[in-house]
Amino acid sequence: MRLPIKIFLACALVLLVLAGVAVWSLVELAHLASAERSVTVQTAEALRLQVGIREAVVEASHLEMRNLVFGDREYAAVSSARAARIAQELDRVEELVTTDAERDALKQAAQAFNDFRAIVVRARGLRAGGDVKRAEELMRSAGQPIVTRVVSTMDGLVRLTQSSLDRSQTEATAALGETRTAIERLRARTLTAVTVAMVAAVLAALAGTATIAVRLTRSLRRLSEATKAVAEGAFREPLPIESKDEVGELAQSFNRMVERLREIDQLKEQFYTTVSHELRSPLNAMRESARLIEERAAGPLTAKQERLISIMHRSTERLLRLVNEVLDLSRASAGLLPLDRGWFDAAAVIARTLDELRPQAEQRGIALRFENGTGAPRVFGDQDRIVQMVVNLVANALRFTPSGGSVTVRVHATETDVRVLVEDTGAGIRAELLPHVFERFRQAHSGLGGTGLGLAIVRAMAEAHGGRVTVESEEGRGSRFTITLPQGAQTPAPVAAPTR
Amino acid sequence: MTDKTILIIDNDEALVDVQSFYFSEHGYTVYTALDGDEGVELAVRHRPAAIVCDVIMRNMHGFEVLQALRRRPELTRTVVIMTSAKAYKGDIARALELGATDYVVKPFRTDELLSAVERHLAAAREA
Repeated sequence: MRLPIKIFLACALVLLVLAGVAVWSLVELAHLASAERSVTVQTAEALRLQVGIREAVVEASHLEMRNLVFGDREYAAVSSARAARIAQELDRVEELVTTDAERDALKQAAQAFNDFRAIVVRARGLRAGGDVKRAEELMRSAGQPIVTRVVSTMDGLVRLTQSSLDRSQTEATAALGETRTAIERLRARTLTAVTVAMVAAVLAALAGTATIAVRLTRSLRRLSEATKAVAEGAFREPLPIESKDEVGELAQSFNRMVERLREIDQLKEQFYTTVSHELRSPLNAMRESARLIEERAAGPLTAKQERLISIMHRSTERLLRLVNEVLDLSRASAGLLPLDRGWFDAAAVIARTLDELRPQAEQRGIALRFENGTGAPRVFGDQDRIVQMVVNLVANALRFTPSGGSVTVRVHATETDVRVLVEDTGAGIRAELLPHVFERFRQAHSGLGGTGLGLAIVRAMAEAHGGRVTVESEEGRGSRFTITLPQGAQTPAPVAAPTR
Repeated sequence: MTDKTILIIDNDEALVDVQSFYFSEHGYTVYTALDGDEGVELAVRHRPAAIVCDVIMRNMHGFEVLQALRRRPELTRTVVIMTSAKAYKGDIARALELGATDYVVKPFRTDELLSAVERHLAAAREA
């Protein structure tokens, strides 16, 4: 999954939780609003109709009376219409009343009203037959009491409905109280839910982003460590590809790059091995042949032959040294210097090395001294390479120190490192040349021999051991070179394993 | 098996020539091989008293040559001196473990090699 999608999903999780809470709150509110509304409205309507009916019945009887007395057809039509409407409204009231008592009262009223209508029909019949007097008499004697009965029944019904309305109003008030409580409860619940949801959402978002961040950081840290290792020349196993996002792609590219670097490194190593072999082999043979001739292995020599063969021997020697130095330096700067590391006593090794150089010093009339500061400074490194560093520095010192001077080598261990100091009372180095003495082919004094690579090699060897070399000098007073090598169990930077 | 026969196995032709010259001058019958296969073949054919063999060679590594030589019953007691530009303790230990008589680090002086060969031959004679 791509990185932006992962981040989007983490945020979407939060939004989803919030949306869920909102929908739930709305549903709860809607539910509350629809509760307890119909009953009160319905009862009030019934009451209104009942009062209307009561009035209408009285009115209808008056109208009918007039119809009968005056024989006005208009009154008859209005009276009939009113009676029909009353019948309708009675039906409607039946739908609206809620209690059995109301229904009984209503039934009685309806019955009485039907009786009244029957009387009206009969009275109209008499009237039609021209007997106004009897019709009027019928209405007065039979119709009127029925109207009174209807009215009194309706009054009873009104009372019943009124009390039912009162009851439902009381209920409604109670329901209102309940609703208030419910709203209060809902409010509290919504608040809790929103708070919980917010906390949950924030936690989810934090967890999501933290997971992404942790994985990202871990991958990047691993990549950074691997990069550091590669920079130091160690090609480790390829990085594990944990995700398919940009970081995974980066790790993949990194692995490809490391693979390529490893190949290049191998090619380089192969090149140096081949070149060193091809150059050194014939030179070794030449030197050995010249030496054998010089030593009369092939018979006696004339003075001239001896002079020429000696030139050849020295030149070959010099060329071989140069080739060796160039190769060592190239390998060291490519990080391919093979080191055969082990623990050894630097003081003892250096003392032995100086013993070998002493005849050369004596020949030049220079005192070569050795001072061991603190017991047995132990070094973890390639003994031959460290000897080579000391030889280069001492040979340099001997070359630039006039007869009668001295070269002193001091070894002392501090808590963290072992220092080898090579001091001479020689020509010294000009201040402006001092920063460049460790560069290749930079010689402070030309014409005194040397390949111009000695100090560059010393620096490369020191660095390959995780150490360094520094110089202090005063022109005309002498120089002091200091090799600093890490001491103790600390593991030096990984350098290419010894090659074969 | 005469005492003064030597087989030199090395890829480095110039070095082989120098050593060949020097050993001949000192009365040796010298056989030379420029690779391991040829070396093993010559060793089996001529059964020299001493063999000088380089470790780092193309085709066949010096240690393989050493193993091949020591597998032949007639060559188990032959003086075999391994030579190499590498002075790693591990390499030296391995060579001696595989049956090398000695291990000489290059570059060496030919007269030193001669004295090493003569010393080991004398020791072999006494044994």
